[in-house]
Amino acid sequence: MYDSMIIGGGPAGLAAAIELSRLGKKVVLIEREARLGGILKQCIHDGFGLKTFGCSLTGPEYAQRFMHHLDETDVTVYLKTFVTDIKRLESEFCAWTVNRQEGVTLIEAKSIILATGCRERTGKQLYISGSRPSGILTAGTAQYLVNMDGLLPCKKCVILGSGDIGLIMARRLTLEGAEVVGIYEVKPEVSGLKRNVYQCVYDFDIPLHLSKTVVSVKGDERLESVVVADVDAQHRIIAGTEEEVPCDGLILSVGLIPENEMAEKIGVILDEKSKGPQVDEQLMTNIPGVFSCGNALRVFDLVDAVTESGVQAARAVNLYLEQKEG
Amino acid sequence: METVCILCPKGCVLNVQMDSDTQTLTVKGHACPRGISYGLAEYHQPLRMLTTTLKTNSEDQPRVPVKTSEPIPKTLLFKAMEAMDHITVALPVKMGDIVMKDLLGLKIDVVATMDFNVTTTKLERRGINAS
Repeated sequence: MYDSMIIGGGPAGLAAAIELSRLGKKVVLIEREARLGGILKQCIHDGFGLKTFGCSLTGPEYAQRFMHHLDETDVTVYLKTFVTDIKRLESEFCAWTVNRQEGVTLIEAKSIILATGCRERTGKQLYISGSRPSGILTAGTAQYLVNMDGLLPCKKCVILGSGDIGLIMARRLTLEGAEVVGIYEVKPEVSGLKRNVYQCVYDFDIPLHLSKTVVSVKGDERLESVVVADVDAQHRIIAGTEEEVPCDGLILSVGLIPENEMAEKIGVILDEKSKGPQVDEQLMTNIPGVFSCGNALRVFDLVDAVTESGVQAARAVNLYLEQKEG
Repeated sequence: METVCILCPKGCVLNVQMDSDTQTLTVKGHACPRGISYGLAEYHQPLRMLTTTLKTNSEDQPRVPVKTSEPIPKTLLFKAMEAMDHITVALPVKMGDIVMKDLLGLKIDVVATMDFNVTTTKLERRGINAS
């Protein structure tokens, strides 16, 4: 029986695993992908870790530093392993996991840290009319294709939303030879960081349109164009301002939502607004022994804060276990 | 000249001015000393870190993330991308390994930013490192 089971091997899960192991606890870390690091693996740009390490690192470097720390611990790591269900027993938890080597396995632990990260809002969560051609993808998917697979998903694209991933992908796609015809933001101000507007948008003379949005898409098999229009202060489309923009890609950078499917399965109550679990000051959910950290708890702007919340959750778990057993 | 410092998420708005009498540059608006050197560099020759990916010889891991060991002139970003196009990295590779020497004759190297296919005996011993 493990003292704690950490679900998710991104920055939050890595920090929590390392800290709990340092505190002398027996930890199991479960990651569904083949490698640890979570989303940092594909965030190849720099600017991470100024607070944690005092220097600017790329996403992979930030993750790698923690993976090296993890190597020094005796944390049990399951890779390519998926948690399909969690049950609460008398005073412990039991997780059904599945992987190719062992099939279905039960893992038991006295506590759980949910470090499952967040997911992107997709096109289906927006109100864009038209058919369903290929070429419409989230900024994170575009980032995965370009940075992990080495594939260019489009040659001429429109970016909807001005979140940081969208701005960073505008630069990335431009450097890789695609043309970014414009970034459209429904709000009157950019939602990403100022420094990203400078180094990703202005540096490459990419047109940035505020108070404008995409209202419809055109194309059968493949996206052929999008229709953009001005919006008023209430984000309502102003009739007569519609304009067709030819493109073969529409990249969405329109927000992130904490991922808590597994949390909901065991009865964790979510906050209506943040979509993350309701937690006390110890990051414990309404279920004793179940903790939440990182972007699964709420979407953080900086990875340093994600790491910090992982450490905080680990310390809280340690305290919880001591009180329970004391 | 007005610009925004890109060195941290704070994003200070910098004002870089040449004093016509003394012929010296002054930077205003910075919250920390790093803003001064950044502002001066923006005036003379803007520098940027270039992060991208390189091809590998592995089907499972087709790209390896890399960065320039130091910031390079902004005007050379596309040339640098072109110069890196034909490079294939043989795995395994470790974070910090030089994968391309002396980029564009700038005396700046290109380094890997993550370990790939590096066997850590400890990791194999625990858990499942399924293929």
